[in-house]
Amino acid sequence: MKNIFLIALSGMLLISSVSCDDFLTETPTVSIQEDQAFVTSQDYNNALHGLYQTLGRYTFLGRDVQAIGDASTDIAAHTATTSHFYNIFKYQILDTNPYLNDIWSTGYYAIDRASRIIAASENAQSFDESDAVVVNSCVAQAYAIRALSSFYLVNYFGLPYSAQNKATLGIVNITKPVAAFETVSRSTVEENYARILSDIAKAKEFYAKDGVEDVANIFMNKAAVSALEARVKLYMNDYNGAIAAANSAIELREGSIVSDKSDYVEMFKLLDISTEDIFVISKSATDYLSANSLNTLYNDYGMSVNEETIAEYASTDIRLALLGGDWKGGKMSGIVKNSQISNLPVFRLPEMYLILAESYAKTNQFKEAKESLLEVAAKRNPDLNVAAIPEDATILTYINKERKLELVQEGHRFMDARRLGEKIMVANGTYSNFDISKFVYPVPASEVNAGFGVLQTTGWDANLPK
Amino acid sequence: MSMKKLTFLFLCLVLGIGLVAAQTREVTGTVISSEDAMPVIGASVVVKGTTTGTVTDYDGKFTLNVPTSVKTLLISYIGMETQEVAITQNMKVSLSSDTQTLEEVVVTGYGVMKKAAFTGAAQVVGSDNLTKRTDANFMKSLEGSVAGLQISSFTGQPGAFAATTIRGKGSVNSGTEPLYVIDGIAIYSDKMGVNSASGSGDMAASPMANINPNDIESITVLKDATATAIYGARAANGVIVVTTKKGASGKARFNFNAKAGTSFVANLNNDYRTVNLDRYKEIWKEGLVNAGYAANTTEASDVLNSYVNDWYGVDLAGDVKDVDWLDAVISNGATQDYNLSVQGGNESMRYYISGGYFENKGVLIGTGMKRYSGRLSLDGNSDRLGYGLSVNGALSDIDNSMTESQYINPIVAVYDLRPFQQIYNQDGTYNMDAYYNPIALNDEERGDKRNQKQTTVVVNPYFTYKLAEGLTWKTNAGLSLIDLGESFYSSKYNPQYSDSGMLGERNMERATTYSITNTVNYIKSFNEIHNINVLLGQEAQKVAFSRVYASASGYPSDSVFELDNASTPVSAGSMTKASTLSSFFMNAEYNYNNKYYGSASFRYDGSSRFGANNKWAPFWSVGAKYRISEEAFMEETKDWLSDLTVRGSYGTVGNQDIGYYAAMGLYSYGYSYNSKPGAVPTQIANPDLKWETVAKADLGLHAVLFDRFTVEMDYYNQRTKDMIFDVPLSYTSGFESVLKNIGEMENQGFEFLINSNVMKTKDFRWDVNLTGTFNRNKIIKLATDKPIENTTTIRKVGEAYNTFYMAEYAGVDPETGSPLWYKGKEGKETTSNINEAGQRIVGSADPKFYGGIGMNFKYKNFDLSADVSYTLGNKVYNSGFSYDMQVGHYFLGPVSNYVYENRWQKPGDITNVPKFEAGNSSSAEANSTRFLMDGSYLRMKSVVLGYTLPSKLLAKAGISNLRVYASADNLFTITSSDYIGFDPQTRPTGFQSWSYPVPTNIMFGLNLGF
Repeated sequence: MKNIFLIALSGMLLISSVSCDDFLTETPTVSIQEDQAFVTSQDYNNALHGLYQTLGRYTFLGRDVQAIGDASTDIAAHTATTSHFYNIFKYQILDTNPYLNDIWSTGYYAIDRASRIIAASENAQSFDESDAVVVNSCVAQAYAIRALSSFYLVNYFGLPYSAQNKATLGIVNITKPVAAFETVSRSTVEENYARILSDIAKAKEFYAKDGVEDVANIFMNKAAVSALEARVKLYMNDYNGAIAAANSAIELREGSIVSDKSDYVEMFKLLDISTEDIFVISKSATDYLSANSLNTLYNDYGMSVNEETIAEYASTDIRLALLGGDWKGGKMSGIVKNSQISNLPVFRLPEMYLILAESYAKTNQFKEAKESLLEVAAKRNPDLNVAAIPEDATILTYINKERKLELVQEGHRFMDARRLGEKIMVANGTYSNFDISKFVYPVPASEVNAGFGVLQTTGWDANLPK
Repeated sequence: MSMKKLTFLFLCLVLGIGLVAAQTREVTGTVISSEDAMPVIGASVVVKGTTTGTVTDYDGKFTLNVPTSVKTLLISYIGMETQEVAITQNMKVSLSSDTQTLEEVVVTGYGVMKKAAFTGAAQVVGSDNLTKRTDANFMKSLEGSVAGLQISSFTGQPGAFAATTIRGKGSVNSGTEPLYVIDGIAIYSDKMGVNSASGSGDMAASPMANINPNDIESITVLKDATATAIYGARAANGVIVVTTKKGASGKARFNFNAKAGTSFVANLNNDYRTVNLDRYKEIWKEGLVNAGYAANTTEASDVLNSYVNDWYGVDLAGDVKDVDWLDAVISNGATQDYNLSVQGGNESMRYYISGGYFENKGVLIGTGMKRYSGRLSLDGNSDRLGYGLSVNGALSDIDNSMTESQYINPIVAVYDLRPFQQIYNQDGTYNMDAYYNPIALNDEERGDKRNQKQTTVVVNPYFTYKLAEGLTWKTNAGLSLIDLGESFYSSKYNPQYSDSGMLGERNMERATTYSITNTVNYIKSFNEIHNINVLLGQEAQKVAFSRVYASASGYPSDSVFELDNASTPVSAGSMTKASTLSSFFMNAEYNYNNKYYGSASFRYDGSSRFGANNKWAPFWSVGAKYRISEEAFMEETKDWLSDLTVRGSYGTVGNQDIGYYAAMGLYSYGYSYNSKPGAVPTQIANPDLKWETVAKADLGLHAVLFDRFTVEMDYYNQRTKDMIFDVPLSYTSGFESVLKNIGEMENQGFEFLINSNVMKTKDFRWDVNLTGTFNRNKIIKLATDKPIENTTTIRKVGEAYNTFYMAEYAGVDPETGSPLWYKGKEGKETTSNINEAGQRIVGSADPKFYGGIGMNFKYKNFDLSADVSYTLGNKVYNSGFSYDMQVGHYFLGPVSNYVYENRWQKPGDITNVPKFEAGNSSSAEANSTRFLMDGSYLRMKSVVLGYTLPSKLLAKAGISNLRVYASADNLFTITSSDYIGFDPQTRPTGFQSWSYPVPTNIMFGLNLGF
């Protein structure tokens, strides 16, 4: 009895030690290991969709970028029903602000994922023709999104592009994926913009490759790349460049601007791509941000467009169909079935015409400026007094106002007010004559404290409104 | 061993007895209890090593035929010390209660040993202490009873999870819960459920709540290296060993325990409650005047009425009913608990079978729990073989709500409702203008459903084989299954989903643990002086977890809830994960004449969770104990100092409680865009990732004075090294952080336990137990040189992990009523601009001192026990006070009584509540020490008064024991003067907001044995 036992015992021990290593290997079932991530062209598509998903998170272009872009300006009101974005609205900013942390981190996640797609394609074995087309399309979009994310980050964390601000600290330029523990440093605003333009050029280069077709409006299509170029060049005061790019975007889009009230409402009440959409972040009934959406912020969490701004629209303006009256979210009131679902527009046709108008005006081509302005203003307001709009430098006041009213709730106001040097009231009247062009948001404390070379913008808090 | 062989052996034995029958004699005797000289009915009288035996009758008498060669008999009875008595004519055996013996036994899960011989730091809690309190989760009963053990329960919800730490927070990123071992099987104790993570509801049913406290024999809390090193990689945070009741030889004995009672919230802190309608009108009128919306209160009245009419559709000028929403959601609860068990058997098969039912209706609307549990435990011996099987099963049916700032938490909803908002409309339907109307939401038939069904099954077979004298083999196998079925439904009364056709969700999670442990144990005494105990073992364990989730919306009506009825699937997913552990261990003990003790242990663990370069790791410990009182030079002190022992230990244990695949570089799917599948990189690889190691040092002293006072004290120092940290990376790398072994943290402290028998006379006995712990947690090293600064906390070297960091409130300017804060990071200068106030370190959530006091009185047949638990020196931050304590920034929002009664009203007023101003923009609501309070408290944990009926009366009815009692849990809680809220006990982080009030339970019950 004893012997049998001892034999059985040693046998069991032997078995257990031999198969130990296998026993201790468990592979995950809902992830793949990184050396398997970019093998086939389908993998590139998967990574590209993951990149769009990152872009459309509520921590970036799904809500935070737009919310900060409007809450911090003269167009917002906040009832304090909840604390969401209240500190941004009130300029109670600390370098530990969670929304700033969100946009910096998610913006860089998007930049990193785009860079990984680009790097993988450079290191890959050659693909056959049909696969190469897929990969090139992915790379084109990756460059475009990298430029788009960088654009928002440099405008929130760096001063507006200008001759005096060119050499000030901007964001970190990324050309290839950054390894863990690698030291990085902030480049100047000028260098950031140069990189953005370079990425846009690369996007166009890859779109021009053999067989690469244009993609839908829920992706960074060819028109969107030109639209981004137009916006960037406008911000850089390269007016001629902006004009060329805006025209290119308009041509590629082949869309039209609506002038009918019900058409206008439909654009925001349906998830269908409208005739004005160039690039939107797509949401749907099976993929939406519920309480974290921009919709909920406007519908339930207390933010709204303030009375003063609403009063600036002419009484016959079709845009009042969504604003004014019983406030219910405006453009972000959601689709009929669910108030938390809307697409987030990133580029729309009206912006292109307004870019044209401003660029023409700045280059003293006032006739063309007025024409472009009317493409938007006259369509939105059927009773517009066209004759009253001058054909001289003062037309800029009209253009800037139209831009503000057209792009309300889309997160442009912060960036526009700064680059135009306007002194505005903020926090719905708490502070007035705030020189917002001198203000930058602090780099998040967690980035600075990580200690990999990103320095804080010294003295940023001296430029808070008083 | 097969059944046939067993039966054969049995037959042989019986025959053997028969053969010897001719040479027997008759032995008679009586067995009485030494305590009260009453006969012990049903005591087992057995010939040692055989099955020859009988039980005593109603008079305590027995008659037995034994072979003439037999010289002694074994007399035993449950709860009493077993005695081996020499056979005489008409024996009289006196058995004494073995409550002493119980405390002297430490169960380590790998073996049982006498506390006197144990060189480690451990404390044993008996079953009596576990059943004093009435809570589904037995862990709550340990609060204040065990030195070094801290329980942080942040909600009084039935069956809820209670965070537990032993000797301080042991890790930052790996788990901090101790290892739970039940009958030798490690239990999966991670939180389960789709809303269980903090940040998504923090709603967790605890698997501990499925264990019926009536089935527990004892709990041993293992603390230092010697006690825990044998658990190796899972023991960094200590080990809690639960031993369930087993069968005992003798005739079948039944035990029936029942209790029923009510629970209620004794007193809801009035400062925290919101104002009634009259006060609401008064303060908002004042606020409107202060803000310039009106020139005087009459005008303000009109302005207020018009706003309220516009925004809420209520005409304040008319007849409006004053609604107390908090009262509406809190009601009396009720609890019932029934247990029936039977045990008995003989040498070859002893059994313990039990069944129980527990029901608790919560004090907060929509909460409650039912638990059905059953146990079967069999064990037996036969010659060299020992065997056993226990099967435990329980099903809990729980209705609970979320505990964070979600509106479906009724407390959150209540704190955003105004006294003029009605619960019902005129026509009797629910008023849906009241945001997240909690009465509507919890409507029995048509409201939200948040139901969890937690099923646990543990099957534990074992067998032992005596290989030779003193050498035993044991194989212990276990299968533990925890199945959580969640069924959630967001109804038409829930604004989040009512527009999209309601939402139904089903989540099924299963955690299965398989384990097998083989040990060889050698126990031998040489010359009665040298005693050794050597254990060699091997263990393998696998944990497999799976989840299936589905949700759908678009319900056609409000009376069907299953997902098949809904038109639109919203989400569907499944996942699995698994982790394995393989170990080899050794434990050796030697003692010389019960005077000098030494022990050493070693364990080698391999885990699938760690990086390829570091899969295996060793852990070891050494311990020594010196019983000074046994020395010759201590002879004189023997009469007053019956035991004086010093002990010390040092060793290492590990913490492997991180993600199952934490060391790998991973891309994950599921990040889809526009229904197209998407992948993103979610983790950077670190092949060097390995365990955290905790080096534990302990020095202890144990003394028994006058046979009445027992003192046990320990000084300990636990240093966690290679702490796994999310090393923050630059976000430009595409990741927020990477896991690396880099940090260090220390817990240093002193704990004591004093048991004293203050008075003892023939009829009266008074015992007092005191426990206390001083613990200091300190961060020694972080991943970077800079501290990690968050909005309200900071992680800094030299400070405790849970340190609060925020602007420091400096009261109110008596001239203007504006809030003031201290400027900058230091100094006493004040400012009324929040942006100028710097964040400062303002306190810690860790208590400086915590413990408990217990008193037990016994007078004749009456018993009274009172237990108190207390915590001192910790801070609590209520993150909901930005709203609850508002001074007008949340226009027309609810206002607390504290603000109403203490607000600044005119120049010269000295107070700490600023001026109430409609639309207040002074930033009084910003995070600051205005909302930081002293969380010290003393709680009357339980008071129990019982009466045991005289056994003379009961004997006739065949009842061996009947005790009736009344108990009160949480009778009162004394809090610090600056504390405002329902209960200061909260999460270990010190944060609380809109938490479930802790109920007082008054119960009546009986223990019946027959």
